[in-house]
Amino acid sequence: MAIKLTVNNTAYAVDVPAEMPLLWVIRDVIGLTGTKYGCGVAQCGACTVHIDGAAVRSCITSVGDVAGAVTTIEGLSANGDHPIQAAWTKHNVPQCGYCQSGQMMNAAAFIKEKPHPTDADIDAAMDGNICRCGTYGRIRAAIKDAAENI
Amino acid sequence: MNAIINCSRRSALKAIGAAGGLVLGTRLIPGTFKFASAAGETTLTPSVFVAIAKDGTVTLFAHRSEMGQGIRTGLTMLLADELEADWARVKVEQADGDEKYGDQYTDGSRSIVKNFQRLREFGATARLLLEQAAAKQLGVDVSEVKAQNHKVVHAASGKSLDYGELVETAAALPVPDVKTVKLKDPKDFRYIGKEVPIVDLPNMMVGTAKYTIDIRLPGMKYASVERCPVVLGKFASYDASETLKVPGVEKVVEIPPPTKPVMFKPLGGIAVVATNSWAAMEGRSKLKVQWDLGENASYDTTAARKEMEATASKPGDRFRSSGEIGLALLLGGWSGHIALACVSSALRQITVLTTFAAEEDERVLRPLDVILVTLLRSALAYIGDGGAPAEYRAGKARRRPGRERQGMCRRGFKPGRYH
Repeated sequence: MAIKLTVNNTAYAVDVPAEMPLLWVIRDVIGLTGTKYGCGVAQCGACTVHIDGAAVRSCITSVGDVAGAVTTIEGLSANGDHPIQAAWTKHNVPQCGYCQSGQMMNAAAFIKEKPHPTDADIDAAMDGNICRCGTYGRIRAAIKDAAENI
Repeated sequence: MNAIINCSRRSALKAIGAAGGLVLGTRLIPGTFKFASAAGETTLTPSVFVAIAKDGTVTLFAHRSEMGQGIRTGLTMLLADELEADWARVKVEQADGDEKYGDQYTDGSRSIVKNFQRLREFGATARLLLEQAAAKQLGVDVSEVKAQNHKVVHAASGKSLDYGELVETAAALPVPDVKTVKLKDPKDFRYIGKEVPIVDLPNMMVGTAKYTIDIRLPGMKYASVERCPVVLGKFASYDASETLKVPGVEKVVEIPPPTKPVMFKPLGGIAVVATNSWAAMEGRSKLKVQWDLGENASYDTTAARKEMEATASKPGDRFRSSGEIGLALLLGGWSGHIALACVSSALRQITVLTTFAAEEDERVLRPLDVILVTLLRSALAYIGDGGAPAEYRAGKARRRPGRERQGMCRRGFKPGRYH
């Protein structure tokens, strides 16, 4: 029994078990590899995607439970020019880059809800997204920059 | 010495869109770090390092692995700087693993050390070829033109030609001897030593940067391996019946445990092969395994520490001896403690440096330097482990980085339970 879902405005019907995490449907079935596998237990944020604009951890979200439209880093903007992507580029945020899809997806959902965040707001909102390279300083600067330009 | 060769006519290069462009490669004798320089060794496959297409796009083949350390960007900086390339028009292709690239190890913080001169020479050679091509096209002497930011400029006439307009002419020119190529004065560096956007940034921004986990091959399967919790242990028996019921799981593969010394050998276990990652992981979680923990079943941190303490109190093995040990003994002899520190440290230093010198043939070892460094370090060590990096002394780093470790391993370090 195929499961229907919409990812980046494209409709898919995937023949997978309903309990399969959305992350693996996106990566291995649909083939969009921008969303990353980090911990598999919602502790690192690398797998963050949007469902109807809200940031969710796709590694613990069963595909059968997805009720809204999914957006991944590949679909955050048409031309890679979302204010968060522009700010990330301007601040040369990534080092290895592996966590950054999740960081950007989390940040994009956050600044939509809180257009004028303080440092404390940013720290609280981004607390669940780990960066082993330690790019937190640049992430915070980029979010503030993006928030001013949104 | 680099033997830079022109391989613009090779049809295989069409794949990278460089057909009709300028392509420079080198010939390497597999298994050594020596470059072939004799003419006539035409049977060797050239390794392509830089290609300039008709639209001017410069492609560098990165023969080192990126792990967030920035090597793809670093190598590109070396090449682009000497080439006088516009950063926005340089792209990087990841070289596959192939002997033709010579040493592809990405470790020991030596990718830049090993490639600094080599890639600068590549870039400078390509720049000179483009200047020669421009001079030919403009009918002027090569001394009158200068490469500047992806163009070759003839100042006297104000004319300039983009690199893309020059590649066909350049490809037909003989490659100049690298000894005649003039490298930039470091004060003229435009990328080396400066901050540049990392080459993979645009791809990272939209999720198209490729990591190992993102590689997809035709017919590729996904596997997850259940391993014995103890090194050198193996499974006594296992039941995969529930595993094989998981949708997507195709088979279970037994991987034998490694033989000693373990070193970098695969650790063994039971691999669950599936059509997707999640099925492999789910299947693995449903394996029922009885492990035979083997000879290390009771070996733990306490046992390891005791073993290391016992080993440390034994005389060391001498792997190699060279240099002026006598001087170290003589100078250090005024204090029993320092003398002992000197001997052990001298042995370590000399071994490390000679080992390193053997690898890096351009590096000349001067025994007196070694002794002086040794004495200084020994004195510092005697005062309070002052020779170690601050983070090591503060207990924040688990080991001393870099060559210390390399030296230790090379100095006849006895393979232990985990090695």
